[in-house]
Amino acid sequence: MQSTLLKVKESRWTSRLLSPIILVLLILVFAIATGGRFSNPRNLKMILEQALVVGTVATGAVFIFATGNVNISMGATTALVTTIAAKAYMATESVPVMFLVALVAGVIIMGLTALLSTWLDVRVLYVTVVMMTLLSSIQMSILGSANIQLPYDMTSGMGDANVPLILFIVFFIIATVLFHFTALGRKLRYIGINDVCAELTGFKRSRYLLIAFLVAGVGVGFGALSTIVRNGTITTDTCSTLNMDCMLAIVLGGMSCFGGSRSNTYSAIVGAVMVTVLNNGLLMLGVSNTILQAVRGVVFIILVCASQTRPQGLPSRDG
Amino acid sequence: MKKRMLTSAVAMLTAASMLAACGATGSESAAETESDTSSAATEEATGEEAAATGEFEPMTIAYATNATDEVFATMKDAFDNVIGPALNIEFTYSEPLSDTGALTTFIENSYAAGADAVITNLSSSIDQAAGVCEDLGLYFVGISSSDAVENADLPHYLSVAGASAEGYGESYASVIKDVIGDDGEEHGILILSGAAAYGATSFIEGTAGSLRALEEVYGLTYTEDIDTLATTATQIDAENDKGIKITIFPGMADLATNVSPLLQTGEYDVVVGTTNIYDSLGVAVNEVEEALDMDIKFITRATFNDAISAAFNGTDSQGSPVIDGMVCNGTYENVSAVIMLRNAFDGNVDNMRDSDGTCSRVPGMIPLAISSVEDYNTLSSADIPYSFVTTEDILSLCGADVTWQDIDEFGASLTTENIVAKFSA
Amino acid sequence: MKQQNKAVKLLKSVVATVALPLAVWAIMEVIAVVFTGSHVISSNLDVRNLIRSAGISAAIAFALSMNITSGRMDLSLGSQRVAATILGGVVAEALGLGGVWVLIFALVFGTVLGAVVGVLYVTLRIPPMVLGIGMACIYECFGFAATDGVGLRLVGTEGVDLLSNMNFTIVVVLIILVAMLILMTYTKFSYKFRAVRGSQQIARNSGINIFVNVALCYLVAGLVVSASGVLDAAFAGSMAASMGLTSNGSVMQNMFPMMIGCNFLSKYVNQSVGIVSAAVAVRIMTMGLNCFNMSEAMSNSINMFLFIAYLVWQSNAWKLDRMRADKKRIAEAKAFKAARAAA
Repeated sequence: MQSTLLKVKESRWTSRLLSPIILVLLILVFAIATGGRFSNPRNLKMILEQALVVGTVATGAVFIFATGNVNISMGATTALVTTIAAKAYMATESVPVMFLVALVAGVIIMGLTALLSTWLDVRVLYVTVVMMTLLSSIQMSILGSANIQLPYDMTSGMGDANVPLILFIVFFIIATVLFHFTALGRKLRYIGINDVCAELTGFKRSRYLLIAFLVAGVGVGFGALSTIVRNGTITTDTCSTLNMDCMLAIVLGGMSCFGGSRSNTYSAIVGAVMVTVLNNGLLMLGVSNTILQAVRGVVFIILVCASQTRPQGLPSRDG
Repeated sequence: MKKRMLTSAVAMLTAASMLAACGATGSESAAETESDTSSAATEEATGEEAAATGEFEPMTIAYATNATDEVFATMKDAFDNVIGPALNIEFTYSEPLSDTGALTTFIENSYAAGADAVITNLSSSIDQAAGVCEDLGLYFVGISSSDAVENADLPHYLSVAGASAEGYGESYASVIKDVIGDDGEEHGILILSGAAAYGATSFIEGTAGSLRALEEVYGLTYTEDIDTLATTATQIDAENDKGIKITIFPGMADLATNVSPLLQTGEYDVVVGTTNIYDSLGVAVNEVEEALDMDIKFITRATFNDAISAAFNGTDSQGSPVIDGMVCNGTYENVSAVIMLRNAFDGNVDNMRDSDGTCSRVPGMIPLAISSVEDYNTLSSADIPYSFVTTEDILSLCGADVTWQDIDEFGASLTTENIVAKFSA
Repeated sequence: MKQQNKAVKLLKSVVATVALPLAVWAIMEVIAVVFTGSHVISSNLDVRNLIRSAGISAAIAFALSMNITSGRMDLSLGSQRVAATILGGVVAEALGLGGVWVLIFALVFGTVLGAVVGVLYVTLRIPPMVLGIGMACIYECFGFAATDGVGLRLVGTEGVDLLSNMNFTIVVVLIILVAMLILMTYTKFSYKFRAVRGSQQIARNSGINIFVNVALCYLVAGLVVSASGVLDAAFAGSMAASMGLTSNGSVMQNMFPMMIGCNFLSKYVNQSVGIVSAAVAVRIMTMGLNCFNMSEAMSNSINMFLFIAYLVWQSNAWKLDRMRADKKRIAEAKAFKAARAAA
């Protein structure tokens, strides 16, 4: 009995499937508690839509997190890319141009962040601390005293055509193939487990870090487009909580903040949906908005505790 | 394994106790505020309540707010304890929302939780929110100082309520004229334009209104366009032909640290804020007054509360009032929004929208301009209901034959003069 | 002889302490006078403002340094600051106590909130950054729920005038600085702290209970950061109850002085003194930039540019050293070769 339990616990599928299972359980609990109101298709679709922006950006961020690096400027980058793409649309009134600009801007900014770190030899975390403020300052200067209000026909048309969902699915498939079925993903995870080892094996950390950032840049571009569709109005506050939401989502989705072997592309969307499920379900049960965030924090800590093996050694950044 | 179970248990226990603590503080403070509610107002309401609840179908309104400051707390208090019971409405409130995405999420979740209508004061996003509400079939009123730009023809988009930007401008002009107009002296004036640089219309109009008032008081002409001056992103001197020192300082963050050096130059003896600058600058101004031994006149945007009362009634180190004048946020917009939603929910949608098939525009009350202690004390006295609207007034504005023009007109009648006359009787 | 050495050493550290702030002041002053004709520091009030704001900044930098220097990034520090300040104010007000009691209660709450994070960390062993996010979610709610979202207002509130008194603030700032200096230099805790930071394995083998030390680090961080919160609220007049994990922004801004103090100045002086000196220098720089009447976005960009320049220099300085050493070696070799050829 005990050995079977141990086997289940040690199985790699346990850690992989724990978060999705918890998500399903949460949905079931809320569905029962609200007498089926929660699980009606319209509500579930709404929940999924709410999670798409975070899901898309965080899926890209998985590539960075997998290498054991934390990028805390994801939100600021997305905000800037959103602004640039929205400006491009206002200038040209062309959706394809907006798509192109968003993708290019996302890739370029993320690439620059990576290069700043690898060229100049500064830790990724510190570079992103700087980038966070720098990028939002640039966004502020671009916006100036005017918010950008995009035409409602365009945004609602794209929303009705499920553009954010399509963007997410396309990016998710690309990311999953890259991350789980090519050598790139394995190398990134290898770097996350032990970068010295990886470097000695011949996988240059700087090169793979740049690739990871570029892929994340595509995610940022897609995420920015979804933001435009969902928000319609771009202000200096756009995406202000996105960065933390991404980190929350990735960790809730069952991935370690410091990457390595336990990195999965689906962690991002599972975590993002879990956050929106919690918000929506708890609100339905009459929990006040005021303590919703605290409940989220508590669930977060419990889930992280439950899903990780407690380190036995000395304290480190991994716990 | 055991250890792990133990740690998980510890985690849950701590988490649970924290949550309990959190919840407790929440409900305690709620209880406190409830008991704080002016007893007069509650008494007044309870009589109505029994009769009223029978007349109205129960309804839920979700209020999406951009900040949870004191203005919001006062409103919430009145909604939950007076207006809600009178009109049989239950309210739910958002946490402070900053962007349209969060607003959309709140609206969707409120719909899921059973809301019938939505109000938001996130002024940059009202048109987008109207679109979301239309999809979900929720009645919607946006609160903003400017008109709807898009989506005005959506059938559930009832109205844009909210004191007009011009109203803010007028009120600032009136306070400034009162405070500095009559002494015939030259002043150095510092205008804090707040979020005007980020496009907030009421801030822009507040700044522009102040500049226009100064134009009138001194008979001067600016070398630059007033709107350009008002939306400046950097500190700028509004140069003029009379050589009066007028400076505009934008921004909301770290006001005390950033503005203190400016005041220390001693060049400014009037400070005008388009936001509540008493909370953020009161200490700094007082320090400068003491250090330089000079009186700085203080004009702020604020609402009635204990701190402002103390400041209006108290004196600073130079023996003059701490606050010399204030512009009170238009609070009628919230009440009018609720009344319009109530009417629409009861089937009176067409009268709440403009006859040309677009949403109506209800500027209602002009922000109050207060520049004397007497006026302040009358307007802030404990037995005056929220937004100066009694429960009878509210009930009289609900019904099948009421139009949005009636609601707007009632609001427009709420001037300082009328209110003082009405409530001192 | 020994006496003299000591005096020289003392003099050296005094010079190292004031060199950076003085240099920054001199540079900013020259730029400001040449381009704008104004001075960085022009009045008595400016000096006292400098002490106050640099003190607040130094206190936050101290709190950051407790964990970051050991590789633990605590993202809940900002929420501890907000929650402790607001709860302290609310409790003091509820008990009818004002002024200094707000500070005392805030310190108590800060200690407790910090200690809870520390204890949770050593019991649960979640990655510090992850734990920080979770705790920030919870703590932000504390401050929010306690005041119904309004936050704490000190200006115009009866009985708390003392807090807004500048002399009081300065005294508190000085007490914090001295206390931190003593705590981080002369106590057993600090010996252990440094031992643990050096090598956990060796520290453990020499009998130090690492877990207790780590928990204490969190506790001290919470204590100091709550003091900074109250002083900040006292000057700014209020403390807003931020939500959505935005509370950490004001703490992050003090990474710059923290890094200069801990990684650069600590080579020449006591680390605590270094942090204070760095905080003063950064503050003077900001005051200097203010003279130019730039937009918020612009001055933020300049600050960040300088920060990254510092980071680049810090992580590449060894290359310069090596280049110098290489040059010297090559020169020596050449000289040797030449000498041999001549012989």
